[in-house]
Amino acid sequence: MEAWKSHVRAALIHRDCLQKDPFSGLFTKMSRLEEMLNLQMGVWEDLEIDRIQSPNTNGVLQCPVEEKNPLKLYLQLKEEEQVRQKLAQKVSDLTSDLYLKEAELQYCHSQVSRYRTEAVLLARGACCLKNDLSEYEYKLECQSKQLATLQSEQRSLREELALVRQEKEELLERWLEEKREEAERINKHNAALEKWNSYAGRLNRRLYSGPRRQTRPTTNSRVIQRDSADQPSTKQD
Amino acid sequence: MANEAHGRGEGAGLASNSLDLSTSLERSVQTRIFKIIVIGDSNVGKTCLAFRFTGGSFPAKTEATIGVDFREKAVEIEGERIKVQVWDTAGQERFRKSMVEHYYRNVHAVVFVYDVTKMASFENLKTWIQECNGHRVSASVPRVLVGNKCDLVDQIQVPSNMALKFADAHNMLLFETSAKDPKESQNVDSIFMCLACRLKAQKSLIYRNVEREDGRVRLNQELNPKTSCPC
Repeated sequence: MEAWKSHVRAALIHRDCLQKDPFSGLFTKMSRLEEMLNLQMGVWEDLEIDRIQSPNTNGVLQCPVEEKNPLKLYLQLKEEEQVRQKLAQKVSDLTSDLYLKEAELQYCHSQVSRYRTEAVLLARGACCLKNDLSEYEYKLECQSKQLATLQSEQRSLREELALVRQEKEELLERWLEEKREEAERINKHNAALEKWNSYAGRLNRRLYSGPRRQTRPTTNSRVIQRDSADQPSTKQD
Repeated sequence: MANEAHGRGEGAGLASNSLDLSTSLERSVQTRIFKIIVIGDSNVGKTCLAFRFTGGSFPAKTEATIGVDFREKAVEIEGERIKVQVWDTAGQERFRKSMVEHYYRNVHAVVFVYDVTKMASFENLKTWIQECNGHRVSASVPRVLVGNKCDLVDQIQVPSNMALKFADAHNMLLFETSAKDPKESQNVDSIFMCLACRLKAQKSLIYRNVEREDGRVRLNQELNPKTSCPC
């Protein structure tokens, strides 16, 4: 034998030893032999009962050579009967199995149909969802584009807002500056007016109080000049 | 004779010159201006009060005053025409920065305004008075306290007696009024008219004092106010 073949055989045997029950064949054979033994024992007992019940006249057993073939046939018949019973039993088992399987099959069919219906429904749903998904994807794309546009708009608006705020601040500053100048102007005007009124009033009163002493009338311009010198001299009166 | 006649003629000319001068001087005396500033917290109604006095109505919409708004109203007190110059100041700090010194320069009277429906605006009056004193405003400058928005009767937070105590403690007159309520317009006018009268009386006294300083007491030139003052 070639080396590789022996190697394969050894490997297969090793695998059988590992994976299978090593004594399964032996037990099967032994149970079959026990059955055969029981059968033959049964046949033997039947024959014994028959012989006891129907002995020949002289009480001697009939020739075994003559009975040899019918015995064999009888044994064969019994064996065949047993085989037939076994087969009938097997057929019956198989039939019940078949019914069971048929029932299971029907159940499976119903399940299949149910699952199919469900699958169809789910497929439809999936289709709808897929459509929705594609629609949403489209919408998302549109919205992302819009968002990008809006973001850029927002950015530009923010920049504009910052500019406008800056302009507003500048305007506010300018306005405040204007107001400050205006306030200063008005304050100066008020002060000048007050001064003017004061001096004019005083001059008027002096004019009324001492007309005889006044040899020469004073002009407004001189009054102003004297005013600018801040205090009119009493000596001139 | 000729000299006499000439002298007489010169005398007549002098008299006419003196009259002309006097007339021109009288003309040159312009309407006096009383500068009154209105200060207080933002949104207490300073602008509305000033507008009510100068414009005679309640403004439909007002914005925050930036810097200062100038308003004027000519009034006649005891036959003298006087311009009341109302400085409506900004209440918000950011709108009044670097303006404050202008507010208080040569101010004749100060109106402190608070909102009767906001206790905080009343409590802040101390700060406003401190600011006023910090700018060397003389104690002789008349000051009045005005509680605005009296028409909101249900929301009043500052009781009158409390405001009165405060006003007394700071030697101020107290007015409680509403710039919005047309019935109160007389009251608003009286705030400024009262100040104008006091100022006129004060000024007359100042003139007399000035004359005293010159070494002449002129009792015949009485410029004291007559009894026609509305306050």
